[in-house]
Amino acid sequence: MSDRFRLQRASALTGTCLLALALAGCTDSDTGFDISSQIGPDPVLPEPSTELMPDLKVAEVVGWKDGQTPKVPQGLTVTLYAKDLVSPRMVRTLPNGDVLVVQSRAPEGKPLPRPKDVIRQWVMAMAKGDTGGPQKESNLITLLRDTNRDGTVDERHDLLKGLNSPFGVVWHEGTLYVAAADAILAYPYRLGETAIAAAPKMLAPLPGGPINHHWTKDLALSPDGRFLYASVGSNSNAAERGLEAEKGRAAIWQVDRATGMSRLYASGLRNPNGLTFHPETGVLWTVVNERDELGPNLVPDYLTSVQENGFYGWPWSYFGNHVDERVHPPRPEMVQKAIKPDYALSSHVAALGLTFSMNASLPEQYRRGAFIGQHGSWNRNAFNGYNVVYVPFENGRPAGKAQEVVTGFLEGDQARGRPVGVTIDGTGALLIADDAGNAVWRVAASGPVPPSQ
Amino acid sequence: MPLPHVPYAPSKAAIAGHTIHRLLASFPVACFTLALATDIAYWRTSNLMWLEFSAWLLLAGITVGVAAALFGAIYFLVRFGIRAVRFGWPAALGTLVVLILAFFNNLAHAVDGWTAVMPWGLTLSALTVLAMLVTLWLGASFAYGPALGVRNHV
Repeated sequence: MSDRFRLQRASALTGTCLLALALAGCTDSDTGFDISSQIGPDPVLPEPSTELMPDLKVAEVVGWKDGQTPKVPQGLTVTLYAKDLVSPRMVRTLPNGDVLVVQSRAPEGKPLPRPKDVIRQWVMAMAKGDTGGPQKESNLITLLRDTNRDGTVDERHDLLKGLNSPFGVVWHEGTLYVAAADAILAYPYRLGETAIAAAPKMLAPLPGGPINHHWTKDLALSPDGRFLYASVGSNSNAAERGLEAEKGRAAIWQVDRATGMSRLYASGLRNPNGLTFHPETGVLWTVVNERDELGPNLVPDYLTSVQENGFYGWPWSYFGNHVDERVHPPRPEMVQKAIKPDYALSSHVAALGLTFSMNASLPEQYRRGAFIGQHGSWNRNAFNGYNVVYVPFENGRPAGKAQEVVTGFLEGDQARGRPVGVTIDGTGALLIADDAGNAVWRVAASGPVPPSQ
Repeated sequence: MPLPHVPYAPSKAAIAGHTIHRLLASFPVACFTLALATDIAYWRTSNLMWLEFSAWLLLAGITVGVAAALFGAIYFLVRFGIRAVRFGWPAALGTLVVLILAFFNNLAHAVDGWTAVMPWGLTLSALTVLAMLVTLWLGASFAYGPALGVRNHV
């Protein structure tokens, strides 16, 4: 009987200890961390934390009321460029000044192999305000035309509809290239036209479904016009769907525009977006979303130049050769090979859009750098991102701290909007696609600015 | 003063209740045992399929396990009254420990990849099975012990 009693007491004690452990796991231990220490070329990287319950905090989307706008610092002014769009993710300015807005939703039918996938999908859908009711039609490309260059849209035409989750778009020599979720499509299109009736040719297939976890495929045109570059995000957070699912993914592809011949240009980039060539150096740059569930301050998303045949670590390591223990079996030779990216943007900001300021007609301090659209965090208790930042450049390299330029997307724990793609319009102002706010915002100098040198 | 002897009145409801409880309680036993097996398989092969098996087995085990525990608690309280509770409580406590271990094991298995199992997932799976064996042994030893089956006896 006394044996039994001891056993009971031991088990009661075990239960209590486990409960205490659970409570300890729930406290927020990151409060002392300075997130600005993760902005720049040498971010502070804490030890990975194994949380029992990973942080999951998504801002509920409430949208913009009439008259509400994001906030910009002194010297800039922000106006509503276009509204009533349906999940606009990408903005691109054509050579004639017309602006294309790519609107899209994630492809449906992704298999959910584990209970956590099912639960998380449900939580994320709730946060997006997706109640399962009928949705407005998305997956289209809309043309916005500012005829008199006064910074307001005078004409609006839906150019293409019924696309397969499009994201990147590039125009060159009478052809509009659209990166859908599984292929690069080429449409014959002359500048100024307001409709496309012709069927597309498929220039090249891209890794697509059925998983297509990071499905946004961005596009860039090489300075000589010969190649397209297409970004393909990974099919998982840290290869937890197996390496077979990652063939050709977490990579940037080079596609010959004439023949469609494709090859891997760079790899180990978990979720690259915002492909842009630097206007002076001709070097390809991208922003990359790094992995989740290693703690609130791991892993910083980053901005980097892309080296030909470069390998940037995913999934085996992050920010150079910091090993991710979740990926098994380990591959030390791959970790050894991993290139350290150029510039960290801090953790979980979800950098998705990138444009160089191209000597735009903005105040002097914004003329030689990069604007980055940061969609905002979910995997940390204190929000990060939900803004557009500016990284100053000198001699084709980042030089100095990123500054917040466009804010006000968050209001407490609610999101009015979430920035994605950015571009410079025909008047030299900055445009921002806001997918949660269903709008495009225009940020311009508030007074006359001296002409560019 | 000794109470008058009341003969045990078998009721169909009792048999049904006992059957349902046994049925529900067999789920966590099978699921948690198989989860230990699939964890070992993942540990030996690094094949992520086994991790997915473990995660679903642990979810099924704890879901039906909690249902069994609630059903059992209510049924035995109502059916046998306070006496059964007195003699059943080591088993009840064991059940609670098993479910708490399984809860944390579910969380551990939500990690993406190797660290879902090594070292804590596998450890928790093994502890869960161990706690389950002890609980079953306690339950069995009481069933065959001298106190059970003797009713209305001071």
